Amino acid sequence: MTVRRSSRGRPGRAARHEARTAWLLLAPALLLLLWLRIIPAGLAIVQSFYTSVPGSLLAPKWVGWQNYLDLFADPGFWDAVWRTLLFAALVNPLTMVVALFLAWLLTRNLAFTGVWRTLAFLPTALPLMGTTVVFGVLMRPEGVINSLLAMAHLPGSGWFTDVNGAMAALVILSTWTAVGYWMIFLIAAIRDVPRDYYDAAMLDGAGEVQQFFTVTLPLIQRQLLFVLTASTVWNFILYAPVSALTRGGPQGSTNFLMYDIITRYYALSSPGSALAEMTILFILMGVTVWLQFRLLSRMRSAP
Amino acid sequence: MAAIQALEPHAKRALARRGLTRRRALRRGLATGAALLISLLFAVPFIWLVASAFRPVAQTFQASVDLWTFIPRTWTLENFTAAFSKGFAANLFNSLWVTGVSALLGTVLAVLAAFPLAVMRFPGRDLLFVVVVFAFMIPFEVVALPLTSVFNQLGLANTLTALIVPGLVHGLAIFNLRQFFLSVPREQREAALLDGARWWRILWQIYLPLVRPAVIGSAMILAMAQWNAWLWPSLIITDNSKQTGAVAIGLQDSAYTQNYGLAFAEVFILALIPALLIFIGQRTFTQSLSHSGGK
Repeated sequence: MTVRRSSRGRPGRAARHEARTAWLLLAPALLLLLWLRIIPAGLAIVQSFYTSVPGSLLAPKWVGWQNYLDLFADPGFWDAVWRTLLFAALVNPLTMVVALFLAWLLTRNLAFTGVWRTLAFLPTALPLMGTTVVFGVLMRPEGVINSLLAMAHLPGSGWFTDVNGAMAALVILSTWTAVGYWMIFLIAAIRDVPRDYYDAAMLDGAGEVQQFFTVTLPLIQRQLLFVLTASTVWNFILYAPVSALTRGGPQGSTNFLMYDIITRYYALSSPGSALAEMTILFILMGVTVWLQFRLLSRMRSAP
Repeated sequence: MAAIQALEPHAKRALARRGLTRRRALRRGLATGAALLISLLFAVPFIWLVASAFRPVAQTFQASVDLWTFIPRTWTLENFTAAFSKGFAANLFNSLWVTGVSALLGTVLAVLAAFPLAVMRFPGRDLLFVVVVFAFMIPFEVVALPLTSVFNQLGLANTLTALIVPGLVHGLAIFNLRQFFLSVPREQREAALLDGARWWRILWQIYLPLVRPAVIGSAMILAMAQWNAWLWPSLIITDNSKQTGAVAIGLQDSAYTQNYGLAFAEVFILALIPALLIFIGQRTFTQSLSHSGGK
């Protein structure tokens, strides 16, 4: 993307002045970066090697890898890992497919496109806790959603009170919330595809669907990957609906890592163990994003 | 865009002669129908929320589902008066203040960071860009726990400053602005430098006007993140009068069990403000993320 050019031939003083100005402009962002990301991330990793009792006068005690070993020996932890990954595997593809379909549909020059876009984007305007309250009531066993499903002769579910339903309900809630946001990024990406490409495809006799797969999809791959990773990261740390609606239940079926971490930190008062789990979640997130990059880049290099 | 639309009747007439119009119109109708259906699916919970905010709570929990599930049988403002008598105005003000200040200062910071990363030349620039964006892509929630003790030690607990500071920087906002700065032709920079212009003038008078949509887009990214923030405010603020609107909904939900009418009114107010902004700025926002949008 960036064009690297040597500064040879320019007076050295101007180049030095430019570099100094650049660092000066960057300084506030870099300081915040240091304060709000790098130092706390370092703190979290360091504290994950200690045990401490919050509020007590006892100094934190160095325990080495003990917090990690305790986690690995805890079946509840592995269950949380599995639940988090299952949720990610369900919600991210669903979100991407719906967002991509909507973005494609709403760049077709339909009547009232602005209205449809705004409607699809509305859920993003709701604070996540607001969405949580709304879905919590709509998805009660005797709630509106089940009644509507019954009217359409479809089976209902206990949703947040049901072992399988709770996962499905959170997938629906998260998808509903996020699709509109990612859709906007994808609409922007689709609009950036030069029209000539479509004209060329049309001359070759490609229909709308074929054009989507041969022109649109390959040309927006970079933005698609970006949206996928951002969505993945967002869903890995989904916390508010879990905390308000399921509290990790029923029977631990929605005990995602983020919820487990906060519970460990506050309810169980074991910060060391919670931060060890946080470090693991972060590594898990990094590996997942890395895998997505690997997989999608391979797709790109394939014909 | 306008040119394409202007051309369309023309193109249609040409196609009509070839007898293709009907098939196209049918497909178009189908696509519009699909768009309508999906958009409505997204709107249903929202419509229900609006109805529930404006009716007595007993009607929200009626047993059967019919038209009155989505339209209030009796309109009332009692949920809103209840919310404001519990001090929701303060929460709303906190949200507005925190979001406004973060978006304003955050956009300035993002512009100042994105400009050198895109336009200026200095050793290590590309590496620095990767570091900056990746570091800010670390979700704030991941580092929130250790930061609570840092903020507590600084005496920032229960202050709006504690809410504003973490929202000042957003990797996406910097990334978005940088992409736009990159799309400005380099000749602009060289010409200005030959004229002996100072850097801040090149930024302020040449580059900034060209990337205005991106500035708006970045401000919106920053504002949305703060408006919806939940975990951090719930950790660092314990005094309800200092709390943001988004967290206050949850608080009152648990403290006054089942007072849903109140919660619906609060959620409605919190959604209304960004929804209005979106409705007005929908086009600009889409443009703002599109790299050719500035043209």
